[in-house]
Amino acid sequence: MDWQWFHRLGSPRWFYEKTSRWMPWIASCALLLLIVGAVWGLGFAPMDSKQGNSYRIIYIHVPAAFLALAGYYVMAIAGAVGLIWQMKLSYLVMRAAAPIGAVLTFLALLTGALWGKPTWGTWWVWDARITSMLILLFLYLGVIALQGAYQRQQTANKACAILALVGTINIPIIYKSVDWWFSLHQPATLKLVGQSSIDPSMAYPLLIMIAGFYGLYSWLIMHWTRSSILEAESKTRWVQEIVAKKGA
Amino acid sequence: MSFQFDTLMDFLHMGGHGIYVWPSYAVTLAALLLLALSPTIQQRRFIIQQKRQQRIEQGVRQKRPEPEHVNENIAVKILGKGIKRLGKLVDYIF
Repeated sequence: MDWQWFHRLGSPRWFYEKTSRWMPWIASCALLLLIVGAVWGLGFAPMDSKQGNSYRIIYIHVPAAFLALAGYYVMAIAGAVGLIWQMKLSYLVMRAAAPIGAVLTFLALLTGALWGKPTWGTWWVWDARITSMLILLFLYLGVIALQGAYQRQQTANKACAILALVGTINIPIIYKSVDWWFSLHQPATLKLVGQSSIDPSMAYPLLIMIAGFYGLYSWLIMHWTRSSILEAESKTRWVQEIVAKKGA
Repeated sequence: MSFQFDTLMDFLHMGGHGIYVWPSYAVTLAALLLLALSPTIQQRRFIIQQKRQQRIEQGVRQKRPEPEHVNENIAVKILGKGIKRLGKLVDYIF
């Protein structure tokens, strides 16, 4: 079997050059989707009969929470690949995923609080979904803190990867929390199998926003990884050539 | 499908929920911009720093002689020498 693609995937230079070509397209698609979704969700989707207009927060709350979870998979898988195959690139991806995921988790919690106040009458409840999301935030922050806690980069990378892998236990708990424990948080709006509990007129902008957030996330992870590639590979000839080519 | 609000004020007010909806969107926008811009700034700093490094290394490698100052102005020359001597004096004292 030809494994060449797999080894090339681990090469920071290959990643940098490929993503240079992809990024403008991803950025424009994501931006278009986000603008269409936000305008549709804020102005054109019908008002919710029970929650009024406060439900419009769903168009950022759900996509942010989606990507906070998906981003954790990215971080944990990148960490595992780094541990197993010692790939340079995968640790860089893992380190990039932590701050992006932390911000997305924070956004999910914040928009949730802002949605909870008019809907439940409270900013915060210690229910299973919200508490497990808070733990997710601490896991992300823990990975960020661990990165700076070791003198040797290689040791720090391994420690972060192990923390990220241990933390994956939290992910199914977050997914299932609204079904396992009765709480204020409403059950999942969109379902892969079976009937969604949301009207199509409200669901379309939500799907567009989720797609937009996925695009934005992939752009962000590339952007962050590329910037750390330049610093990690600063002594190599190809990075020096890029530096020489850039103006000023 | 049509626009759900009659006036701009209605749109901003959102039946009393505007104070929750708009800050959610504003904070999200700000946070995402921060995420998008911070690697850009980091890269720019890196390139400026690397360029400085390259310039220093080139200078060492080529041992470029200091460019000859065509100093026609005697006064400037003398002042320059005077400042150098003053510098040495200061070094000597401290």
